Amino acid sequence: MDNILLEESDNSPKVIMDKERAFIEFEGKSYPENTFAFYRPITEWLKRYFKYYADENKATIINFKFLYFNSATTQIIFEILDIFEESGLKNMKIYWFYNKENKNGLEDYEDYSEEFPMLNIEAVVY
Amino acid sequence: MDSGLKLCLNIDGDHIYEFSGKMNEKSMIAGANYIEQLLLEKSVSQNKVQNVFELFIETIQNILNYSSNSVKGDDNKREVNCNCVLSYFTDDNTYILESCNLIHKHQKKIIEEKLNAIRDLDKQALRKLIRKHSRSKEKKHDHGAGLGYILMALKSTLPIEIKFIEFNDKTLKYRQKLVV
Repeated sequence: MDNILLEESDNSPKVIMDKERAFIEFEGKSYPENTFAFYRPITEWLKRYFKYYADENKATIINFKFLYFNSATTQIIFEILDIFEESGLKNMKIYWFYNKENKNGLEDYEDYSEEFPMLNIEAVVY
Repeated sequence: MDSGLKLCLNIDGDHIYEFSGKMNEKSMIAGANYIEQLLLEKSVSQNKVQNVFELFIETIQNILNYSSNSVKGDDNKREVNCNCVLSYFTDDNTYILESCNLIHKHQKKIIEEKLNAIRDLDKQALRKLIRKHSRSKEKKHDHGAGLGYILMALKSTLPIEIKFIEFNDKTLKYRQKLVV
């Protein structure tokens, strides 16, 4: 399975999915015309990563650094968090980044962390 | 451009953005970036910039996905004739996003049902509903998650205003007004 490295575009985030480093990151705006088609390879990669590559001896780091996103991305984030939860992996650190002046960022963090308490999502305020 | 789509606005604030013509993904991105830049230059709060930006995107993506006159352009991307205006009112520091596009008549009932279901919900209830919908794997489709109106209601400061106007025997003009 190849790593996924996507450059940021005007309407899609920078995506890093690196199985050797156990590092996953989304950064930027997310409103692709067909959001589900854009994220399908990403969710498929994640399912394979947790099945074949994730290692309890090495923490998997996941950073969500979204700036703006559309409603379809909202559902994709839930789908991604579902995959994390269903993986059963314990050694995983998930960080949700948001601007301290942005109430929406805090509310998004609250919604995701309350919906997935087992994942212990941490907020990173900048 | 179909002149029947022209919006008639009674505005006492500044027109920040006005679009009338063929909207596609490229013009949506250009519009969104322009609006973001302008609001940031005006030192608008990060929260408000995000709400205006995301409401604009949600509105235009709805127009591209659901308009009755949506066609595929040379690059196989959707194109739609529509109108969209973003205005700023200094008196109460509000932004108003108005749009107008054509929809099939059968969509009127669908839109009304969606809006009726959320009309009386407060922000907390809307957030809960988003979580409920997002965890339901049944409602997903190629255009989106079916969350569009819920998110629009969450990010608006007043209820979503809509109006349907007879256009021809199969089509309605759909006007929408969002306040941030």
